[in-house]
This record gives sequence, C-alpha cells and structure tokens, in this order.
Amino acid sequence: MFGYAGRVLRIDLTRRVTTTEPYDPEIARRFLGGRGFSAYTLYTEVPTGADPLGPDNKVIVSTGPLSGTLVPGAGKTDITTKSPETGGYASASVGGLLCAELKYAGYDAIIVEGISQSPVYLFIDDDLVELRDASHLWGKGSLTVEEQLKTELGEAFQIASVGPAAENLVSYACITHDFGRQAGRGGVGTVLGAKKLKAIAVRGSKSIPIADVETFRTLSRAMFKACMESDAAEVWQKYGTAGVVSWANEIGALPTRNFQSGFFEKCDSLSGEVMRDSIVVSDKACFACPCPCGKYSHTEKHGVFVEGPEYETTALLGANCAIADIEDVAYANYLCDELGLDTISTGNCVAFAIECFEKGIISSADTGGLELSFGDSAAIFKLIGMIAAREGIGELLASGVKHAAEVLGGKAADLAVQVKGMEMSGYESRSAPAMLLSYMTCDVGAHHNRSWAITYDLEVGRDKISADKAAKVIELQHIRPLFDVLGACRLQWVELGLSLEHYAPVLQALTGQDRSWDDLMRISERVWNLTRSYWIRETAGFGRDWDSPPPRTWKEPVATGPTKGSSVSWEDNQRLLDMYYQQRGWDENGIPTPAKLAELELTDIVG
Amino acid sequence: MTPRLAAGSESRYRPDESEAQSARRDRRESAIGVEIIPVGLVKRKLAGRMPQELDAAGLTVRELLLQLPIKPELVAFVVVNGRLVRRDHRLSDNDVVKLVPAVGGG
Repeated sequence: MFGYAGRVLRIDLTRRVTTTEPYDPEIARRFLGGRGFSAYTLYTEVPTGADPLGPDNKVIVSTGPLSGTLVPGAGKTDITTKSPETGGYASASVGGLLCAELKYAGYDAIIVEGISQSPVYLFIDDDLVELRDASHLWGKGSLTVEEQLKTELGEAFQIASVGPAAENLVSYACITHDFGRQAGRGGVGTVLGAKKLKAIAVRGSKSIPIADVETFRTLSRAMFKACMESDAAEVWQKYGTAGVVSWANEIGALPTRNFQSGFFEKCDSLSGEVMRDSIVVSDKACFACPCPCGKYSHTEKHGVFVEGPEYETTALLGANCAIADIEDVAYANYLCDELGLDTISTGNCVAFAIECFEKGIISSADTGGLELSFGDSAAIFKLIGMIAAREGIGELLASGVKHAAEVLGGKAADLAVQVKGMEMSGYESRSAPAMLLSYMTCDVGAHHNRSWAITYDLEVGRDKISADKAAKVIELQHIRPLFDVLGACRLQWVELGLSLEHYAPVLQALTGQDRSWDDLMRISERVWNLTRSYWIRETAGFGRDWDSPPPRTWKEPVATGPTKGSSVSWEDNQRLLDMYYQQRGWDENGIPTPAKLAELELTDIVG
Repeated sequence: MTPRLAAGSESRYRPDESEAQSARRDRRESAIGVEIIPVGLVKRKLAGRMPQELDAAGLTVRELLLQLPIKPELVAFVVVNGRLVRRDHRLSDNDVVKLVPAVGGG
C-alpha cells in the first residue's frame, strides 16, 4: 500500500505477546488512517461497556498516510481510547517525531490491549519488538523518563511517556513526547497508566513507499515554499500560539478566574512579547515543519526548562488562575509536564477549587489547611502536586470538575466549566455563540481544536444566532479533524493560509488513489458520525442533554471586560443546537438518522 | 513586466525590485509612509477597499485599525518591523506593518 507502512503492531500486555498484522486496505478506503483508523478500531474492538481502566479498553496509536513524509507538518500522531474522564470517545493528537519514527519502523499503528502485571515499556527497533521492565522508571516524571530512556537506548529513539499522574489514575493524565509535546486531553495517559505501560520507545530505518515520487516531491516542495513565503510565518515562528494571548484578552475571550470573565486585567505580563523577551531560549519545530511554533523556555526564578507555555497553558494556568507572572505560568506548565497532567484540565480544576474555596463551598478543612486564592502561585503549585498524587483535596479534583461538583453538590455544578465531563479549553464564549456551539458538540468534550469558530463570530456578528453559524461549525468539524486523519498538522492551513487545494493531489501522488477534496471531507464526516455513534453506544440515555453548555455560559453574564454583561441564553444555545442537528442529518435528540448512517456507509458497523 | 502599484503606494515605488518582489508587493495594500501588509482573512476583507489617502505615520495601531474598513478585532497580531506590538504602539514613517488574523486559512 503506497503511503502506508502496511502493518499494525498489536501489543497484548496481559499475555505479553506482540504480533503484527496487515493494514486492512478496506479500512484505509473508508477511514484513511490516523484518527479514522483508530475510531474504527475503538468502535469495533473495544466491547460495549468496557471499563476505561480495565483490560478490555485499548489505546490506539495511529499515524496517517501523510505522517513521516515531506508534506509540511506531517508529524502528527493520533492517540485514541475510551476516556476515563468522560466515559466516551477520547482522541488526542501529538506532534513531534513519534509518527515518523513509528512509520519508519514499519508500523502505521499500535493497538495496546490488556493490562500488564508490572510496569513495562514498549521497545520497538524496526522488527525487534519487546516489552521491557520499567520498574526503574515507575514513579518518575514524564520528562525525566524521556531523558533516561534516551540515555539508555540512544538519542535516535523517539519516546512517549506518562508521569505519576497517570500511574495514580488521575482522569486527565496526558502522554508526553519530545520533551514537551502532549497528547493532552481525555485521559489517554491515564489508560496507559492503568495498563502499567510507562513508555513507548521507537526507532525505525525503513522507508515509506510512494506511488509517484516525482510528483509527490514537487507538490510537497510547493507546499513548503508556500508556507515559508506566507506573510504570517514570521509571527507564528517568533511567538507561536502565545502571540494570541493579548488579542484574546482584548476581545474578552481569555478565560479568567474560572471563566468568570474573559478579560484579565494583568494580561500584559503574560503576553507573547513579554514571554519572548523574558524566558524563551529557542524555537522548536515538529517533524517536517517549516514553522517552529514551539517555544523552549527557561525560568530563572524556578530553575527549570519547559516547552511553552503555549496559548492554552497561559490561558488556563495563567489568567484562569489569575497568575500574572509568566515565570510562574512556565513553572506550572513544567509541573504539569513532568507530573503528566493535561494543562487545560488542570488549570480548570485548580480554578474551580479556588472559586469553591472563595465562595465557601470548600474550606481549609477540606484542603488540609491550604488557603486557596486566585493569583497565589505557591498554593497553586502545591495543589497541582496534590492532584497528581491524589493527595488530600487532590483526590476530589483528580476526576475532573464534573465529578468534583457532583460530590460537592449544591451550587458547585454552576462553577464546573465542562461539557461531557471534559473541562473547557481557552476561549470564554459568552459572546461567541458559534464557538460555544463548537464546545457543546465537540466529539471529545469541551475542546476547541475540532472547530475554532470564534473568528467567524467576530466576522458575522458576536450576538447573532443563525443557521450559517451552525453550518460553519459543521464545516470546521470536518476540515480540522481531517488533518488528524491525514496525520498532519493543521497550523499550515489555519495560520499560514496554505490552500486546502494542495492536500488531495499530494495524497493522490503519495497513495496512487484518486481522491478528491470532497472524498476527504466525506471520510471526515464518516468519522464524526462514527464517534457520535460511539458516545450513543457507551452512554445510557445519550442525547442532546450531553451537548448542554456549561451552566455559567447561560446563567451568569460575563463579570468584567469588553464583553461584560454578555451571555448566550438557554433558548439561544438550544436554537443553535437545533439548527446544527438539522444540518447534520441527526434527529432532534442529536442521534444520527439511519439514512445518514447509510449515506456514510456506516450501517454495517453501527447497525 | 512593469510592477503594478498598490493604491497610494507611488512614493514607495522600487524600480530595482525583481519581478517576484514586485509581485509580492503587488499583493499588499499600502498607506503613505507606512507599508501595510494584510494577511489571510484580513487581506481578503481589505481587498480593493483600502483607503486611497491614508497616512498612517503618527497614528497608534488602534487608530489605524479604526480607519480601515474591517472589524479591528479580526486582527490578532499587529507586527511592526518584525515585532509584535500592542494597540497603543505609535507608527512611524517607513514602518512595515503586518496585520495578521488568528486564522490565516480557516
């Protein structure tokens, strides 16, 4: 199969058996690869009702056809599992060099199943595949493990590892790779922790077969050239996503003090310019990327190096916790990376706890004497450590804000900013209804990367509730996740303006298969409907209630800043949801109709 | 090929620039004294709508954005001579100003 390594590596941790099997061309036809392959595998292989932390759940590490090739940004790996945080579909994408090395070793995907009795790591050196003892790594931080394995095995090995938070089954533990890139959301790291798989180390020396080498090379070079010549390249290379911090604050979208506001009055000290001038020591790119958006930083105050903080981390661990010192945000970022915590969910959980403390829902008796207040960096650092260790109040917060609010009862639910059990990422959306709809309908929970529609809200009118906004969200939910199917980064399109027209021809030159852009969009829609069907299968009574926005967004107007007083009423968010369902071909409860499933060739899978 | 000039950019005509450079400049809309490079969505919104006689030197970035036929909040980054600046930054003659949206593509 051109464009593919052609093999899947299956790891049975219970029996300690590793096998390889051919990559099924029929799956490639219908789901292409990446998140498409892994969604199909999750749906068809993980039994209904499987315990996310039990042996029946699987972790699928999946590359796409573009992964590891010359196409700019072809460095993305999808990691999918049944989420221990939400109980539904989890899929997180990580950059770096993992996908390239995995493909060069001869595998398009790894399916990890079962549970090991003792800590192990997966060693892959081309055809040599072993489960090795990891007792010497257990208990250590993600970054430390990566450094240690590179020392033991050699720099050429690419490492993905989990930290103590995953070992302790914190429900939003991440997988770290390349010293600071994460498959962050939904607890994909937690499941590896439950399986006692501490790390994956991979090195490969093979090549990827290409159908039309000359055309592929020519098209890839043209794509690179277009990226390098983009007028936007300079700013993204220099500041990365942190450059957006000031703008988000100016438009009232920067989550502040547990999303009470979208405006942080001390934001100037967190801006991309300040970060660049004060802590950034070098730029860092993923595989085959012409735009090094990663910023490697050093905080003298705390004596550590960290990749970041990128926008989301500054938003959630900075403004949302009211930390105004970029070095403190960088240190909180480092703590999360080393402990193996998703910075977005952690920032939410910390801010939720602080607001609960300030409003008397919890007290120092609950926190073991720790006084919590917004902006108190030292207390926040301590709380992050308590979450990773499930110590004291950290036990309550280790399962996320939805769970914590259910335990606390009363008004705590109104302070839990989440959808489907996943904490909301970095865009306050009470004056951005399309962005709010994106959060409501995202297939992993309240995450921004499937549809980032806030610019559309700004463009057509922030208060407008209209069918075109629902259509835009659907369009973005097909385009953006398609990159996770292809195994490439979307930044080259989203931020550098690389035309989407490049992708179908370059994929055709790679695979030899004639696919139009419409074909690719249809595959993406197929995957979207399959993941929706997974939620329906796994969640009793699943329906539109699961697409409800956080209470704060409709019950409580924005407290301060340029959007002060705004909110999206319950009636308006439900009106938008109705438009969305209707345009998707789903019924009024958000269930794909049999006709829609048949149209997308999903009937034989979903039934 | 003779370079075509963007509206209001006659004073910045560069006879020695290459065809590629001129083509690149041709994509830009310029105000007198300050070269403005709109990017992505901002560029699409400003296409053919740039004020003919806009002297941006001496204005703050905020004031400049208010004079353009575009919603100022669509501009995420304002980069002057390679540096990200804030809305209160005051522009000078010969500044090169990039107006970059948060989404270049979509």
